[in-house]
Amino acid sequence: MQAGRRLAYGALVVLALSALLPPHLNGNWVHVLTLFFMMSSLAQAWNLIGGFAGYASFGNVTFFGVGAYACAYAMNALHWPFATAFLLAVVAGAALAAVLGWPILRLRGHYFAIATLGIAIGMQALVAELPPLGKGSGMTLPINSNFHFFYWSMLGILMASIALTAFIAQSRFGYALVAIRENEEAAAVLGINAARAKVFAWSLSAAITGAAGATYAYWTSFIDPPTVFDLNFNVLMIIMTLLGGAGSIVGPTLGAFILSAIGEYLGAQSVSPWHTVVLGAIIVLVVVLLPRGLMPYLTGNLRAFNLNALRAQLRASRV
Amino acid sequence: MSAMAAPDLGTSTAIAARDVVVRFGGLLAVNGVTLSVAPGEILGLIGPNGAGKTTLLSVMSGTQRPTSGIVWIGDTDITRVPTYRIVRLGVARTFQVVKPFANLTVRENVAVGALYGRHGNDRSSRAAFAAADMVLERVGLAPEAKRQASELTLAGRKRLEIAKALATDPRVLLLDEVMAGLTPHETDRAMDLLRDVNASGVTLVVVEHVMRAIMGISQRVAVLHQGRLIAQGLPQAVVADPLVIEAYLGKRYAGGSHGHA
Repeated sequence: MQAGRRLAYGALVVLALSALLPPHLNGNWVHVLTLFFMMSSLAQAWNLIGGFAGYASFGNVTFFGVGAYACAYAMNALHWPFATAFLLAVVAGAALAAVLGWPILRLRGHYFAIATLGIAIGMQALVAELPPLGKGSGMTLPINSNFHFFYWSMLGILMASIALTAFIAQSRFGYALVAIRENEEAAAVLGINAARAKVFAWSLSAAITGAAGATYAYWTSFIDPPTVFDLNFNVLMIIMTLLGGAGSIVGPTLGAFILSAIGEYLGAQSVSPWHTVVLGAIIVLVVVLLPRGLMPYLTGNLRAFNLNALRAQLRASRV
Repeated sequence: MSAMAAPDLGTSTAIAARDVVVRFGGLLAVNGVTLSVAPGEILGLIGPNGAGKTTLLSVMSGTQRPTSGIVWIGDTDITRVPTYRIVRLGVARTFQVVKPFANLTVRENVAVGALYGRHGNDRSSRAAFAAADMVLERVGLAPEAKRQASELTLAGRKRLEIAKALATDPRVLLLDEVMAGLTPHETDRAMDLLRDVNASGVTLVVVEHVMRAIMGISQRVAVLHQGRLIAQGLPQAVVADPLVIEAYLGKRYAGGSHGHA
C-alpha cells in the first residue's frame, strides 16, 4: 500500500505538470490526451466499486449517460451555466447509484453483473423514449470550441479521482471495502455495515463517472443515447482497471495509458481493424497471466517479477 | 425490542436464546433451543455432526436469522438486529471454515476488527492499528504481522480468526471449532489462549469436537443432538450421561460402562 501511494503521488505530479502542455500541442494531441484523461477517470471510478469492493459493475456507463444528459438538459433547456450543470450531473449520478445500489448491491457475483448490465441497457432505452431529452434523436449543447478547457476539466476530474482513491485506500472506509471484497460475511462479523459501504462506494464511483459524462457532453456538444450509454465504455473501464491492477490506487490510469497508447499506435498505422483484435488478445492475456494486473509488479507487492513465476502460472493454467 | 424478559436463570446473562428454531426448507437445524450463558463463563457446545451447533452460533452472532425464537445480549433483544450492530454490542464470532482477508496482511486483517468493532466509531486509525498490534502480540501472531494472510499455516489461520474477533473487543466470543485440525501442541497453545482471553473477562461459547479441549476448558457443557438441547451441566457429568453417549455412539453403547464420548 505504501509503494502504491508513492506511485499515486508521482502520477499526480506528472499529471499536474501535463496541465502546462496544451499551448505546445496540436489539436489532435489535445484531443487524444483529453480522451485519455476521460477514460482514466472512468476506470478510476470503476475501480472503487469493482476493484476495491469487488462488485463488477457492467452498468457504470449508465452514470456516464445520465451525467451527460443531466448536463445537456440543464444547459439546453434550463440555460444553466456549465459549472452548475456539471454539479447537477455529479449529484444525479451519485443519487441514482444510491437508489439503484440499495437493492442491487445485495446481489453477488454474476447476479450483480447481470443486473447492472440490465440497468445500462434499460436506461438507454428509457432515455430514448423521453421527449424532454430529445427521445432517440439526441440533444445539442452550447458550443465551446476552447478545447483546452476540456483538456483541463478532464485532467481535473482524473486528478481528483486519483487523490480520492489514494485517500480511501488508507482510510477506515477503504479497509471496509477491501474486507467486503475478500469476504463479505467475515467483514460483517467484524462490525462492518456492508450494505452502506457498498452503496457509498458505488455513489462515489457514479459521481466521478457522471462528472466525466457531463464534461464529455459539453465537449462534443451533441449527445444521443447510443453514444453516451455505449457499453464499450463500460468494457473499456473494466479492461483498463484489470490491466493496471484492480484495487490499486493508480492501476486504472496505467491501464488506460497502455490501452490508449496501443490504440493510437495502431490507429496511426491505419490497421484499425486490428485494434479490436489486439484489445481482445489483451483481455485474454491479462486474465490468464496477470490476474492482479501490472501494478503489483511496480509496487514490489508481488514476490518477484521473474520468468519462473510466469512459467509457473502458465503451467498452473495449462496454457 | 421485545417486551419479553430474558430467561431468568438466577444470575444475569451475557447471551441467551429462548425457543430458537431454525428451519432450512424441510430440515430443522435447530429445534427449540433455550440456552443461557452467564457473564465470564466458558460454555462448551458439543454434539455430533449436523447437530445444529454452528447454526445456533450463527443465530447468536446474527449471521443467521432464526425462524422463530428470541436472542438476547444482556437484556437487549438482538433477534432482528443486523450482524454489524451485534458486533458493536459486543458479540464476536469465528468461522469453522476460516475466512481470512487473503490479500491483506495479517496485521491489516486484525486491524479491520479494531477499526470497526465495538470501539471502532470512537478511535483513530492509528489507535486501531495499535490495538491490532496488541492483539497480535497476545495471540502470538506478531512475527507474522507483515505476511499475507493467505501465506499462514492452518494453525496460523485459526489463530488469525481468533485475533480478528478479539480485535473487535467482544464481551462474548463465539468460537466455532478453532482447534479442529491442530496438532496436540497447537491445541494446548490454543487452550492457553482461550483461558487467557476468558480471564480478561470475555464470556466464551466454544463449539468443538476435540473432547480433550472441551473437557479442559469448559466450566459447563451443553449437548445438541438433531437440533435439540439434550443435556447440559458439568463436563464430567454430561459426558457420562447415557443420552449423550447414545447421541454420539448409538443405543448399543449407551448402557455400557466405558462411555467416553
